[in-house]
Amino acid sequence: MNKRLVFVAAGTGLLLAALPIAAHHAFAAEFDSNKPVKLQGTVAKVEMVNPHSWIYIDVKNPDGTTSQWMVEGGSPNALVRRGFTKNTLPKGTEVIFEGFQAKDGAFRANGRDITLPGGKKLLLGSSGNETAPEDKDKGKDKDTDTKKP
Amino acid sequence: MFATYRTVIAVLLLAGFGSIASAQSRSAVPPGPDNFYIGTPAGWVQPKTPWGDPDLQGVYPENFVGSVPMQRCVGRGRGGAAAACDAQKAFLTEEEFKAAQTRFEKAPDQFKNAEQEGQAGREFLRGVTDPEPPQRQTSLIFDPPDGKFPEMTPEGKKLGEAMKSGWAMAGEHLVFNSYQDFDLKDRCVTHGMPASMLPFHYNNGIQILQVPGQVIIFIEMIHDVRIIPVNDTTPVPAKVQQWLGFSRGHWEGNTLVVETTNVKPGAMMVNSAMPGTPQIHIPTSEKMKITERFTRINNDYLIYEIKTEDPVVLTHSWTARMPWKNDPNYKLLEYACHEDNRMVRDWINVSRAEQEAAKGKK
Amino acid sequence: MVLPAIAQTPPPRAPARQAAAKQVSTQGIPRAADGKPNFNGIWQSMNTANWDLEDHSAQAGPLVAAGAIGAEPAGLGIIEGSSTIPYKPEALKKRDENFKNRAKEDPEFRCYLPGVPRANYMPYPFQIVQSTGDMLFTYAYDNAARVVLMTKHRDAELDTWMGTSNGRWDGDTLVIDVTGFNGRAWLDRAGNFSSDSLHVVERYSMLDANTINYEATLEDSDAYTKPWKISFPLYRHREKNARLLHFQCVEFVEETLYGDLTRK
Repeated sequence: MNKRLVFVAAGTGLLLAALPIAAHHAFAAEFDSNKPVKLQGTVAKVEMVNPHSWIYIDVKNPDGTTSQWMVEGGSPNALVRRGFTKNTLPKGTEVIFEGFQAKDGAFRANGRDITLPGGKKLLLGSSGNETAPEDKDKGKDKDTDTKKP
Repeated sequence: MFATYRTVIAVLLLAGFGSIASAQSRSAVPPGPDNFYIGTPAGWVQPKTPWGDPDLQGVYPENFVGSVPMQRCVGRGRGGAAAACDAQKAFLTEEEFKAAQTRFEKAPDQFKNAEQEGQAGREFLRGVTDPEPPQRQTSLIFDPPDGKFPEMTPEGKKLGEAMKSGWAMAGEHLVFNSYQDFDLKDRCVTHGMPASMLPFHYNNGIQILQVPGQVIIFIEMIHDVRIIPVNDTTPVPAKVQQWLGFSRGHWEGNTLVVETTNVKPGAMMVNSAMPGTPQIHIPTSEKMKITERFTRINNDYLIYEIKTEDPVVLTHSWTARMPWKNDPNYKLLEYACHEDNRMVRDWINVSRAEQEAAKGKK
Repeated sequence: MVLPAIAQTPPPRAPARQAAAKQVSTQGIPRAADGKPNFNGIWQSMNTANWDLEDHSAQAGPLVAAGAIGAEPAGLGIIEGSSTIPYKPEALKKRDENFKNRAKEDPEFRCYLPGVPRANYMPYPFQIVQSTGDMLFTYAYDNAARVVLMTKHRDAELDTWMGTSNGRWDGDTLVIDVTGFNGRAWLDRAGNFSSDSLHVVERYSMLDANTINYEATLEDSDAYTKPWKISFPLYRHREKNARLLHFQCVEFVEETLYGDLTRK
């Protein structure tokens, strides 16, 4: 109901150029594709709520202060039906987040990727944040979403 | 002697009942266009509730038909339909359907792959949705026969143009200055009727329950509930409207027929965000009438049909038909929406910042 | 959701269908086809618990401008064996702070989901849908709803407003175990609350064909020093053509929640 097409963000060029077969929740209404952000910080909390889940990340600024960012995720219901539990990202997990910042400059972002430092990949789920075996970069921009416009 | 005589009579009577019973069960109904190529097995008998109504109960998540475009030959369907399109072709051929199924099965399960690669975080952010398998029908709409949405009346077009939404049509740049610049879905009020009964991007669960005298439909999306009295002749109160209207049901054989009126205008008639939907906002009027038919064809499938008439808004009625599959393992989860709805406030703030920035540039 | 088996018994005659549903057994309560008490119907409480679960005097409400319409009548509490909730000291402080801010912070004011057990004593009716498998409680207020899992129980996967309800029969009593709360609902308009550790066990038994005895035990080791119990009757709506209407209230709070953002 309140779903913006997050998958428009990743590989944006591809999808926007496609025939517009449906109205889309305007990603561009809130987030600035000209304002990519890469944040490194620790997870303060995860809100598994509808219509969007939110990951709060405490980021240390260069001047030593801390800012808290909130990163938007999808509806948790389908995640749960795929086997997620509510113990997704434990508080304190160090993460690197990449995405786009809100246009009004708020510490709010729409996400593309969330990984662990050192190039390790993030596994979210009941097995906690154990790292999966490292692998070659498969290309974060790969947009193989064949299901959505 | 007497006892034996009685026993013989009893056995004969039972045999008689037995043959009557088997005469009631049917021969198989083969798969064909009328049943979406889903057959009814020989000897299948419509299950009944303990009080004797046809039993339609089950969980029917509509992501099952989420890949089907609403209209035939409009834009590109999921899985990439060809540019040349036959508007009279209501179903894919068997070969085409098999090819679509193969493509679907072979397509990477992005979420699973992501988990295995340790990239589940990415999929979490993108928003995992429930699977949408390919279907053989080429559109949800079967009437008008070309599978296209009917033309709107001038009044309908005027009302539609005045509707606001956070869902942008192609080329639209939206400006938000008030909560009224969003639609009722964005504001977590309702998807309304008939849209609540049509597939959406996610949280499509629909559960049918029955009690004596009523059929109840529980809709996962914003936890909406339709209570449908069956064979109730109490007049619908003319002055009372509800977002999902007032419904009345009756049985035609084993088919539940539901008529709905008194839908409060304000919601979009269809989910404009789904593939193949008209690229205009469609309002509903107080004169709208919706007629649904629910027919079970075997233990796993229902055929669902929904016809919408609105003489104020539309020049013609339209009817969608689709199979629904009972998925007893689908969990309908709470979809609290308004409670954590940041969209209205965030999008207005952003829009304002954008407008200020634009002013500054002038 | 298990598909029911084909009926073994001959169905009742159509005109008697409604009567069969309300047929009172020798024990005086209506029974479903499986012999269990039949809770189908529209029910509502008649008490002031939604104002305050504890004993309370008449007083001004949170919105003085609403005059007598918004004022709070006196009422006796619904807590068994006590007139107060056994809060831990820190939780009691929080409750009192909630009370001070209730005009803005009461989730009911914002048309948020009411949680359990509050949904059962809101001043609006609800319908119990008791079918052959799972049950559904559908509430007029905010269209709140909860499925009561009767055949296949499961743990709460997510924390929610209404929790996850697993139901079973204990003789003629329906017992519903509710867990997985998000700790954000209030228990009433007076700021009484619980945390996300709340665990509720409800018991529904029919006193007669038109009255349910409702009990709920609340335990929450983060908020309370010990479990405590509420109880009150639920009364059947017996109007001729009683039906549940939706009270979707989100649209009535938007001006208050978002009006500050509106610019002409």
